[in-house]
Amino acid sequence: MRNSLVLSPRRLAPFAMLIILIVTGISAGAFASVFPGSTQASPCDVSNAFANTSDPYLNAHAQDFAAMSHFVEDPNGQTGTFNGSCCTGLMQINTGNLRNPDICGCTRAEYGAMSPQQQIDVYAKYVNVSFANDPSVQTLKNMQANGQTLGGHQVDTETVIACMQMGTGNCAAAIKNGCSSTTLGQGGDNHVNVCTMGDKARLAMQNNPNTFANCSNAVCANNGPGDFPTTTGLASNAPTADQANIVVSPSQV
Amino acid sequence: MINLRLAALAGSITLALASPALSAEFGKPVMMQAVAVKTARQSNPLLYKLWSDLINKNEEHFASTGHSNPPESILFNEYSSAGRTILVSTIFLNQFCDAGPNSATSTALYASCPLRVAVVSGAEIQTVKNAKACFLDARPGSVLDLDPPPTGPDPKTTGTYSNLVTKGNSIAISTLQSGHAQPECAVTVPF
Repeated sequence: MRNSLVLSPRRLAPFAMLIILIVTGISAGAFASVFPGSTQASPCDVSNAFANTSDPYLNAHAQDFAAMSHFVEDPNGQTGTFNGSCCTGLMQINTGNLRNPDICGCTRAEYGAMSPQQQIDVYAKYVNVSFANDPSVQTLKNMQANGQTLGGHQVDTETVIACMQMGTGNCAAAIKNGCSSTTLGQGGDNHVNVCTMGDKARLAMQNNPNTFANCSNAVCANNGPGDFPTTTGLASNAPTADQANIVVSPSQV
Repeated sequence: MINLRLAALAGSITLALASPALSAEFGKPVMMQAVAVKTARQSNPLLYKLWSDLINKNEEHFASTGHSNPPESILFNEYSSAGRTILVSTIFLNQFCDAGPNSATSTALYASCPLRVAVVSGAEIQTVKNAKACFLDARPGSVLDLDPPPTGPDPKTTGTYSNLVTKGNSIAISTLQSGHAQPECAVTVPF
């Protein structure tokens, strides 16, 4: 009686934990790890990095890209995050893309040790190299402008970013099949597709409206002089002549 | 005795004509061999010739950007049958491959690359069929830079495979990742 097998919840707990680990490990394909030299980046850091790129679209939508990073790709904000199979860093760039010398010409370990700004600069190159001659992004931007949906999913900046994340082949397929598949090569990565990835980022942004509220960088929100945060107005805060870059005399106005 | 005769017959028809390498076995999936593009120029001129248009475009691109070429590789199998050679091959060139999604939930290790199935007579390529294949190679030195086991996939059961179906005159391409078939990678190319 003493040696009989009694399956108490207490005894089962370790096995249950093991099963959970195995199942989650299998579903994710592999276990994530962090490369040496990794840097911690806050959502604001990532947003700032996008705001500092030379790409106008990435610059204008810095917080949307940072949301994709923070809520979908790399919630821990580690530049060295490797998903155990293909993808590394704040935007989980594919190893094959990293090896491309037009994009990075680096290994994933080298990329994982880069600073947040360096990683996002590489991402900007990826976007420019991959989508320079691909119509998918423009197609989605047009759909967004026209208020169209794709397979019943909202099309907005998050969808465009998900398109960039999934790559040209997948994005074109998703547009063609209306996001009806998550299969790799048919719009997805076997788990999410262009539309559901965009949905995930959008919903997380809606549920966490304060994530970027305290970011010092305000490039996203400030598109003109009137947008800069001031309680008294720009004219009353005008710099003195010796502080200004351009000085205009009354007769020149 | 019969078995010996069959073995001898099999040996005679599996001797490759296009290269010193032995032909892949018929009727079952065989993992493709890997060769670096630069090596293929010398070791397998026919294979290099099959891809010369894309290789040249790739060279022109990197000449214009000033970047040095990243590692580039060809996977291939050769079959010899009825006096002709069937060459099946996929090539990893950055310019012509889709590396796949940038996604935390992606588990795919392969790239989507051009596939060609050529029918060769003598040293002449007679016909070429174009398709796409999943390029996967986990052997040491692979261009895909995969982790070795235990964190990475098992090289013995990870790769791009071809299967010559003589009855239907077609090649079936499949991809295994640590022994697991990748259904999205299955493609059959008639020749």
